[in-house]
Amino acid sequence: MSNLNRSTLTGPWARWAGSNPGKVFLLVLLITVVMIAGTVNMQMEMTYYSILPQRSNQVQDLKRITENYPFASSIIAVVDGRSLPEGEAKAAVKSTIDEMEAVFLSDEFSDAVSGVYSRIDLDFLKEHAFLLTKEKDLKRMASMYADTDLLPFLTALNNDLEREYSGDSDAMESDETQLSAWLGGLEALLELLSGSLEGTLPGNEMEEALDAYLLGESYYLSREENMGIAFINPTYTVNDLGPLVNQTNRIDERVQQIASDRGLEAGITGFIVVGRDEMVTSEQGFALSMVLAMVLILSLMIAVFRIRSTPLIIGTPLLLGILWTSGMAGFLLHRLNIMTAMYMVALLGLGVDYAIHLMTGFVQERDRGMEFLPALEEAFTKGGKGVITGALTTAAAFYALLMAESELVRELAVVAGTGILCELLAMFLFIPAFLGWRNRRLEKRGKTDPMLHRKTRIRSDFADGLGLRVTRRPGLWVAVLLTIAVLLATQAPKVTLEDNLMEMEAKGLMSIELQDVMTREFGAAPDVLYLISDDRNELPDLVEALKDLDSVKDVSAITQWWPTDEQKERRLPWLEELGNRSDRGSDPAALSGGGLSESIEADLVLEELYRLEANLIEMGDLAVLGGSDRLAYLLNRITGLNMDGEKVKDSVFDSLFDSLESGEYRGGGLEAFQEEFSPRLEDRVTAMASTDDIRMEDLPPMVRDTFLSITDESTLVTIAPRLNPWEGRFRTIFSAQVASVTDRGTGMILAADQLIQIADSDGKKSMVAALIAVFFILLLDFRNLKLTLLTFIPLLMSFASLFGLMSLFGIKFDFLNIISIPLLVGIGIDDSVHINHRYLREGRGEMHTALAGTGSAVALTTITTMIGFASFIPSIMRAMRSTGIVLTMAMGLAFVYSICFHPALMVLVNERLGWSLKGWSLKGGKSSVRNSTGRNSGTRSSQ
Amino acid sequence: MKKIITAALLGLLMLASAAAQDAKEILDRADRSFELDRVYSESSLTVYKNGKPQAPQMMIGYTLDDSSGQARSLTIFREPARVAGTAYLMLGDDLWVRFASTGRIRKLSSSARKNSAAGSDFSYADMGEGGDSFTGDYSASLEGSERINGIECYRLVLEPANRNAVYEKMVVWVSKDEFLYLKIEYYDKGAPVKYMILEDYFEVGGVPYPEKITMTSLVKKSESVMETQLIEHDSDRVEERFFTSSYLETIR
Repeated sequence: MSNLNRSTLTGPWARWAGSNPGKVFLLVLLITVVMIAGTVNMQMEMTYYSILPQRSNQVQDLKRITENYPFASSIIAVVDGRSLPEGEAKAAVKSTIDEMEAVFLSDEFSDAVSGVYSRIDLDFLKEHAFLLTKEKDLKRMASMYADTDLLPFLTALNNDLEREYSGDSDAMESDETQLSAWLGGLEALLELLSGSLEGTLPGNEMEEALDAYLLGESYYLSREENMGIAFINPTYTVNDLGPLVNQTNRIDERVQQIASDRGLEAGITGFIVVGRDEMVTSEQGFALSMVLAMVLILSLMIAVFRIRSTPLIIGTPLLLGILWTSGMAGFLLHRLNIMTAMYMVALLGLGVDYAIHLMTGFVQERDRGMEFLPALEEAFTKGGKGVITGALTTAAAFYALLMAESELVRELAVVAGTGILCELLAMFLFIPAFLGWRNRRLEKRGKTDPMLHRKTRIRSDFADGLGLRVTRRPGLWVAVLLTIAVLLATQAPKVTLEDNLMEMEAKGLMSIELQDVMTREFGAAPDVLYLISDDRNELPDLVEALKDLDSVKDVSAITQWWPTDEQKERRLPWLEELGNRSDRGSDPAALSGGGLSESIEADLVLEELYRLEANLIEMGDLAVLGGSDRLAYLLNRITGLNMDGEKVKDSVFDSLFDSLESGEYRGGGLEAFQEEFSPRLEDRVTAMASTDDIRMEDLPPMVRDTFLSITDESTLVTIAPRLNPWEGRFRTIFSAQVASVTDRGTGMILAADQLIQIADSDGKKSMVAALIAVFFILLLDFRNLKLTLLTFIPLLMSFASLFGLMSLFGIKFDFLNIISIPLLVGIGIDDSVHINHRYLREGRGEMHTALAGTGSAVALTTITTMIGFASFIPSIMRAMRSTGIVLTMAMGLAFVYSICFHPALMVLVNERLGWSLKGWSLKGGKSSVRNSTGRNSGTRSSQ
Repeated sequence: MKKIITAALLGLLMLASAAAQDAKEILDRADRSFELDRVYSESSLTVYKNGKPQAPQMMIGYTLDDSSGQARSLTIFREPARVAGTAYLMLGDDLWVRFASTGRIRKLSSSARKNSAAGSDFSYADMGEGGDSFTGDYSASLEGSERINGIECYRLVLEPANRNAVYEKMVVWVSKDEFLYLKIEYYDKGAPVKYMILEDYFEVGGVPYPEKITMTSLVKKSESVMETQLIEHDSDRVEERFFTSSYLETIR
């Protein structure tokens, strides 16, 4: 630290720059051109995805998934028909989805959309459904479809219902969506049967009823069937920042327009959409904060210096510093992330401090009557060394964060440290040159700088008065403030870490709200976990183990569509049994194939129908008890009951019973139904039991895009959580349960966990590193261990009080604010350092003078820094807002403890307890208080 | 040297054994709440799904151990109207349900004990094993102290001791002053899946009994609150004949 050199260089530099503004402007222009080249080379990556820890296996897998599996990046369009009447919603939702599919597959969106998936491929299932069915279910199917004649079919169906669902509301709840579709099919078949008994022969409706009964719903509908989903595959990924915003906005607008034209609502969500929203809201927050900070700071500067050209004198180098920092970030990092972009705004509040000190010194010299150039030289000689020392100290504290583990903090260290140096350089180059240029213009106009001959000193009465009070009763001030800090510190351990990334997004975003809607209405959250597998044969066991977890709603893998050879081998006997039933060729009109008389067969069918009704009523009981509203509604509709179990209307069963129990019935209707039903069901079952191999090219496109990598042989497994995985404790449970089966899971949930853990650990490590760096710099500066340690006390009290207040106000740590807190070490200690220097220069008994002398500048620089931080508070992005609140509070606390506690403590230890605060002499022996310390300066700047 | 190591190991073993003994004693003392026999109870069960309360279920319960000490319970629903008269009979591992709406009786598989009882967050095992203590099926270890609702508690970890144990692991908190269960957390596949809070203890048959038991699922947005309105220990209303499947047919 060569103060002598700096002090001898800064003054002459200012004089030269003031005399040669054109040359300096040229130099500034050259630097700016170079830095613009760097800025052009830089991207604004304002998504959380872009700041995930790159070295983590989970993040690497996640990147591989977004690049290789198109469906993982799909945009989920949610169509909402809840405002429509019960009977209309389902059809309206389906037709809206159909139109969306047509629009997004048209030329209009060929540059943005590569595919739209809105339905399950029923044709594929009609051919291969049983090959895709698990053995235990095939056993059930083999029993159920052993004989497709009406009577044995009904008997087998009842047996199956009693075995699967009787008394088991869990099974009903987990199969709710499939059961709803199946119930629709069953109701349609019963209606057709009832119609047959009344003489109406079933036609094509039989095909539709069998489709619904055997295959379920092809659209992705909600439990209540009043909402639907379409998956839109974009041609870009979350890494393609250009189309991420523009094309996603286009798709979003079109989705809403299509739905609105049909009287429905719609919105989009998914990984890419959340990324788009993060980009947009953080850029909006960044722009708003930047403008707000600039306006407030420059307004304050105009008010303080009362010079109209202040925006130019201070604002220009301030913005140049930001531009140069961007350029350096472009050269060194090629990007600004959400954290470093936020720091750019904070840099406004930090960089302006240098201007304040330099300008204050210049104005004071001019006020004393000095000529322009001598005043400039004197101001830069006196103030320049302190500003440089302070900037270097702050930059060193910031650069200490380079030891962090995460790229996020290391990038922040680069941008923060370099930003300080860029601002320092911009101020030193521009301010003297601009003042020189301005002076020439004024002289040409015959004005001798009249604007500067005004009182610019901020009144110091308050600081002086405070100093006197502190000096009189230092013990009381120390005791009271220490007590407050200790009391607040007791609350500090209660501050929690926000682990829900969604709570850090802007409030009210549709993409985030839709995640809750999907969890509630569809029973599946869009944020799933993934697993990449290079071995298809491992999947069946893995999928079963994962499905067995309580926190898992569903697991999807390619083997559900493309079974392994081993699976096929195990299923073949069942497929053969299903495909080759013995009753083929028997009389198609015989209800049982058993040669029973018509009336006996009709009685037996009636008995099975009574049994079926009883089964459905019992299932309804369980649905009511279990709160499965949709199932309860459907089961009640079929059985004619209300929620209290009272018979409120005639049901399809009543009409069947009436027909079959009437004396006139002779069995003709049953036979007519049987002739239509039995062969068609048999054909369906036979087709579904195909033993043909499934080849990769046979797979539906949606299946290929979902599960097969476009670059290698690997396949993807998706694990859907039962609840929104971002909420509360569930994420930990979900992650732990999945980890009990495999350690290869990944997804935004786990990647975000890693981000938060690393931010937490890096935040603490960085704090220690910054404290150590600042400690040694101060020790070198003060050359007195006691004084150095005493200077840290207000800073530590600020942190303790900050954490206590965060706890009291319910503010959580998050990955942004926890990383930014170490920056405060380099900033928050400044005020105490300034007071130290002045007090040591003024001497014992002069604390009030020291405070009067430093209070105004300390207050002003603190206010500008607070403005820089506080400008994040209006941001709609909650992470930015919380960081703004935390940093502003911290600066306020550091200021209060620095001007109230620290002076009292210094007076107490130095004047009452007699501690020596003298610095060690570098040439041996102790230097005197006034001579040694009075010449030194603070960390960021000094008076 | 060997002697020292042996002595140290023996000392450690004795300490571990003492800790295990402590844990068992704590559990034994806490289990007294569930060792009431011939109990008649009237209680309500309210299930909250996504924070919305479902229709409250009013139940009458009978428990009576058989001659071998095996727990037996009969639960009859009185409300809501939809299930009034529906009854669950549990005899050891065997479970029957009688549906009032159809009058039919079903015997459920023994694996159903782990399933949700009447759509609530309680399993049949949670409901029916009230008469059984935890000490039988689980081995306990004392793992420190924690406060639950401001009350200092022992924290005990229960691991399955035999195949009858339904859960992979349980963590229970027993109050230090009165040896009352205040919280029980149930684990499955490496993570807690639900927890039970027991509160408002009152005295029945000389032992404390929780008036309110809340089971909260950690994997579903669901919570079930069971409140006991009336409970009689050694009650005349409990008859031996209730605990047969044929009795279910007579319930109206």
